[in-house]
Amino acid sequence: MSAILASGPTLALAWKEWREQRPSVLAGLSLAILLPVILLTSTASSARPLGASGVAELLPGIYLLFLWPIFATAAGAATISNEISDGTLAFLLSRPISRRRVWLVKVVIAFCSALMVLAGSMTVAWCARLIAGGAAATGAPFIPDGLSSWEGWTLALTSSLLLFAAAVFCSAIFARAMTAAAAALAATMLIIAGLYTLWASLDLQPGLAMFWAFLDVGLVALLTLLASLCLFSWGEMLRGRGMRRLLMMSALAVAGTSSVVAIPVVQWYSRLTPANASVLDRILSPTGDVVAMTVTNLDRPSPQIWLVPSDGSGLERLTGAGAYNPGVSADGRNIAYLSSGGLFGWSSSKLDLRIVRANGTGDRRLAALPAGGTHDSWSGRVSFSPDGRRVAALVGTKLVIARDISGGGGPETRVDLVARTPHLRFFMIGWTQTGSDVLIASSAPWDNKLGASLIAVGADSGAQRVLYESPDQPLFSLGASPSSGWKVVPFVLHGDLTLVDTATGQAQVISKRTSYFSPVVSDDAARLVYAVYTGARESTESEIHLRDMATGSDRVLATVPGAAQRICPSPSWDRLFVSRQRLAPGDLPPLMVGLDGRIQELVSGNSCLGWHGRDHVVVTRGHDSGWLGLTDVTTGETRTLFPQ
Amino acid sequence: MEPAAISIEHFTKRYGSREAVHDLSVSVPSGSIFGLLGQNGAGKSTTIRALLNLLQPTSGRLSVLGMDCVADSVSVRRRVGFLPEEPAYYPWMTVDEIVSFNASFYATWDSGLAASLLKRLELPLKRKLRELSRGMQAKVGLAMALSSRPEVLILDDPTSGLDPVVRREFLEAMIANVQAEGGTVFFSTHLLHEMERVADEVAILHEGRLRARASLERLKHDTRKLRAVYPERVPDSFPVPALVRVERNHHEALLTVSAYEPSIPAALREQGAETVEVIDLSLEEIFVETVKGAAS
Repeated sequence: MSAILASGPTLALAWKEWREQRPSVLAGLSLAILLPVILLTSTASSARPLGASGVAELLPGIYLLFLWPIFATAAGAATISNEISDGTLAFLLSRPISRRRVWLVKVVIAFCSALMVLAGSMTVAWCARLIAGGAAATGAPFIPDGLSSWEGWTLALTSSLLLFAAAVFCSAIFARAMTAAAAALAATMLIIAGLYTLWASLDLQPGLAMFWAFLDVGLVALLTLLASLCLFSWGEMLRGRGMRRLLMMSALAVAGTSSVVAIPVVQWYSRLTPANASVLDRILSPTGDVVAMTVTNLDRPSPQIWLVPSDGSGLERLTGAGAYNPGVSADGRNIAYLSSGGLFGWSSSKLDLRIVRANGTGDRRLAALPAGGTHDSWSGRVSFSPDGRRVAALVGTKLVIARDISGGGGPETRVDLVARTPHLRFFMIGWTQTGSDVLIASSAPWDNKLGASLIAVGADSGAQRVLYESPDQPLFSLGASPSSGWKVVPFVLHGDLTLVDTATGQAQVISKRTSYFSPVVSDDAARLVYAVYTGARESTESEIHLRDMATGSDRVLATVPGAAQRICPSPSWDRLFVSRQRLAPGDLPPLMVGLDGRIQELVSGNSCLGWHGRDHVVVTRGHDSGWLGLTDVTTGETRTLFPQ
Repeated sequence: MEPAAISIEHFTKRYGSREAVHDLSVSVPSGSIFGLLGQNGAGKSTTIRALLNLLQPTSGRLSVLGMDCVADSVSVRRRVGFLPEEPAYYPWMTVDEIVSFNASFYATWDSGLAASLLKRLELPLKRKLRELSRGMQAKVGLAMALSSRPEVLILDDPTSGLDPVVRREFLEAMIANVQAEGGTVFFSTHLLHEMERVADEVAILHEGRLRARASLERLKHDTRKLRAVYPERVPDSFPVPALVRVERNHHEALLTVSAYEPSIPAALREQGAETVEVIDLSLEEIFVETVKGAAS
């Protein structure tokens, strides 16, 4: 001790500060050590004892979200206010040492003391995990649902830093540490509420806003510390404050507020808007209520997922940057997607399968996809099982199936698909109706005669079995996925329309015409509609066929001019929305074909995405990839859903 | 001419709308013992705190040993010993620890002097400060203030609350130590007889304003009270310069002047006074007259 005191004022002051913080640090560490013991013993006799693994799982969250903030606030509040209340500040400030150095030593020692509590408690948590056999999850269970582990840490650390900074600032104003701590807590809550309101009102992407909001909170903390330094250096903690100092503080507050506001405002100006967004893909939810789109700004490519409700109620920015290829659950409540978004929304080398509720809450990671995938080009496909409890993602040759999406870190099935030849590519078709298998198609480009195959991958076992294989015909097209999963897959090869039973693998070639498009099987697999092109190229006509799957009867509902591009049966299968095109340049208006063969012409150029209710169809335009509309099939009128 | 150890020029300090000190200008010569007199709230502590940059002047300039008290505050405090009215030390420290802690701030710290002072003042080194009486704590403060061998010693009413024996011992020890090395002492007190014993010069502050400032002898010479008895009614005005205070009582007038001259009694007699008596005042009486005169 004598050597420290003899080595100069800074070390002597550090020694004094440490002696004053030491009881608090020891109390924090003691609490951290005792807490697992208390949790174990207090729940041992209860009906649901936590056990070692339960305690190990709880500890990081308790330490991070309760213990550390409390001790960070206590350490900050004790820096100056105690010296004001007991009068020792006058003694200290009348020594030959600058106030800046006094402040710096005080704050550094206080922060280090708080860090000691954090480090000590996390060591206890780590030991508890070792004792529990490493079974506990690494994440903190108290961290809000939707935040990944590092986001939770960032949230807790930046909030605690703000608490600490506010406590340091308040300790230069209030003569009691408790008052300073209470004021700091209130100020922190107000600041965070203010920032939240600011960010929320700017309608930024929630993920991106969250990243930058963390930075904003951290910046506020640093500015608060700076304000505390100014107050301590120039203020008169002993009695009152001069007007000049007050003006300087006001200037600092204005500058600080400007800086803090600048971040969200810059974000707001650089945000992706419907005006500058390019739509990469879009799918209609099986319920027909919402369209999930991957959008990006082609100048600064970083995709996001937006939702456009089919009722035209407005746009919702569902995810932050780096999110793409959404898949919607059968009930429309959950959306799974691929994410390569990293820190602050920047692109990351990691690829995750994530899930978020359609209302934007509960965003969380389901599984990490293998590195080295082809996600740079935002390829891949995501699909929910019919019961909505499993999600499959295919990126390149890697198939990952998250088998229980109700909680984080559930079981996964990982399969590496092996192609017969390097030219074959894999496409995920969807799930079987029973939800036991994921259906994968393998094919080469259509003009390459390498053949195609339909593979079922066991969701639990990962076992692959080939349901159907064509040695020399490439895959030409597939129908739209039924919301209840595939019972029968209409496999359109170049020259064949083959129906493959996903349960038995039985294949039935039902037609051998030249060109087929848009086969659609009803959810109950009782009916099939498809189009067959007839006539010369310049005067192509399409026969719209309806097939009864039980009896095998096949009849032509109508013969319509042009090439039928897509057939959308209404939910009750009494009408078919048929979009078509001339093979020679020029669009043809879509048609409504009744099962009785009646034809109604609608608005020109619109292609069907799916039905919304009984009388509305969500439509797109072939020449305007971003546009979305809603056609009332009873009146033929179409109104714009996106961009608005 | 030797530069002033302490120079205060037009010092004003306001707390919001309240003016604690107004346009105070005082110069303290090197090697002198300068006493600042005033009631509680007169502005003595405010002035001393401004000298140590514990608070900053609203206007005016204060300097110690030629150094600005705001811009060079650390240098000023390096060469100044300070003992506050109610010293507050870290109660968890022992006497040894607080002295060592304090020593770390001063390059001029004299460990030998500190040890001898601690021994002479019979201070228990291993006792915690919270266990010491107020008098003992004051002695610790004295040992610390002197052991850095300050060129200027600033004392803010350091003996208030001490018993008379300790007070006398304390004051004498302190002043003897500083004066032996030609140092300057600037101290405030409201105990006038203490100041009367030791001060070379005094200044009287009342409600933040300087009311009188002179050497003790000069102050006693200049400030007198005259009793004038008139045969009839007391006149409304008197031919007396620097009249501080007037008390009227039937045929008698009591006049306090701050610039006494031998010609004043004759002037009063010429005005009609039957008898004029000149009364010498003690420092305490001078202080009271000055304060009352300012109030009236």
